[in-house]
Amino acid sequence: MREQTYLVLLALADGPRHGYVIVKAVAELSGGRVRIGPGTLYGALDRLTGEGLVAVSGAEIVDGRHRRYYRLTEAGMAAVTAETARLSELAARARRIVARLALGGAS
Amino acid sequence: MAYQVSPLQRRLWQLLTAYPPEWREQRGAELVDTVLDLLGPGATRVGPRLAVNLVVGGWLTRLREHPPPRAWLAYRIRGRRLPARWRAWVRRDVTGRFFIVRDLAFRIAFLAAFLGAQGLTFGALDPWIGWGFFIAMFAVGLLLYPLGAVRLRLRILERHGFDEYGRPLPPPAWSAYGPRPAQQVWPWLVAAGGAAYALAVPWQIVLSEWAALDAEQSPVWIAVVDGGCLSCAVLGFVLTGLVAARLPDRLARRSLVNRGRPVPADWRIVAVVVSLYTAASAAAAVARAAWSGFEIDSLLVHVAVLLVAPACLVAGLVARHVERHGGPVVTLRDLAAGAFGVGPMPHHPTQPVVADAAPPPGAGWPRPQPPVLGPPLAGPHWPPA
Repeated sequence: MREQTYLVLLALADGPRHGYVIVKAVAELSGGRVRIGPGTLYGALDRLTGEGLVAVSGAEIVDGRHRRYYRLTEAGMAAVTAETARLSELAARARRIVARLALGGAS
Repeated sequence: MAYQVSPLQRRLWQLLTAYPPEWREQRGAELVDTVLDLLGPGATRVGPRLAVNLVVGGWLTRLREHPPPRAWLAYRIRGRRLPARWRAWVRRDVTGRFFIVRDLAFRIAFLAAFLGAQGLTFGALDPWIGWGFFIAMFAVGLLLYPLGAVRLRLRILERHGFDEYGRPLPPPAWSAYGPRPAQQVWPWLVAAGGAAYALAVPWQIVLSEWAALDAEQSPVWIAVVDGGCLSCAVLGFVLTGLVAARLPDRLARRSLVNRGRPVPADWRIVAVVVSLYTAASAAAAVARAAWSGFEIDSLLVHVAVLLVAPACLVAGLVARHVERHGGPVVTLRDLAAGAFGVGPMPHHPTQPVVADAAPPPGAGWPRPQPPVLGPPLAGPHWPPA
């Protein structure tokens, strides 16, 4: 799973969100490193909706702005969970390697 | 209160023309408002990075909605119906600007590729010959194409369940294909194959030997005769089609349920014949590249003809057999399947076999569109229930 896709899914894990909030959440989750453009975001949402990972949960007009809310489906939640577990294992392995290297360098 | 569109909004809508019209209609307002939120209050212009992001996003969306290459080729070359997933794309393609130009450009490119195989056969002799082919085919195409282009447009629309203005027909009108009667098939098949080979292949053999023997022959003259050869082949196809179109109870028609007008023929068998002819030419070309020399080349062309001619004969015999014993509903695909072993023969007379895997009337087709786009943002549907 690409990082952008993972971050978009992760941004939706807390509940339904619309485009603007998703962009902000992705930037926040990545510590400002990943800034997803609106064209990229809507392409990703289309693709994820087509794959059944994301669904439209509602729509409204707030202060004259059109909002459509997206939510994770069960499959989307499962995908996020699996990817998070994979990344955790990877990070744990990486920590062990780095620690070993650090110990080797110290001795 | 009148809705005021700011210059910034106008600029954003301009950039959104990169997206497919249907997408823009359903999601455009949402995307514009998201961008306005991201730009913040007081913004007056769209930065180049954002503009590129929107345009690239639009084109990627178009690409995502484009049919896969194989289905697209079948659609473009033979006007074959695409699955419901790409109906919106088809309508946009057919009713869009420059459809005729795009279609003609593709067909010329396809012909050029076809002639490339011919060029390999003759190219070693003189480039004039290849140009003769191309110019002759291009001229014939230019003469014939406008006559069929309008009909092609209507045919594609009808085949995808749209009326002549691109408006969707109600589902019962296009939920399934109707059966096609199997009568008078074999003359059509044999005539098409026979005319093409009778006109094209002997000329190819004669020209191949002639040009190889008489190296001092004027290249212009060779090009003219050579181009004439292919023109004759094309005219052979066209004349055969015209004759076949006047045969009673012709097979190559498919009706849409509840539609009075049948959809015009698609020339599957011509495609089969052209494919075989191209394969034979390509085989000769490969052989020429492998073993240069007059004797080998002439021998290979003859071998190719010897291989292809029986195939035509087999096709004719199988067509005759199927026409007699295959039951009331047979398609050209069934004939090709029997003749060239690309699928099962029809067995049961009461079991319709149609060219495409058609669901029963009223079920399955049109399949519901995937809920990618959602309801439109403007109008009485907003917000959706």
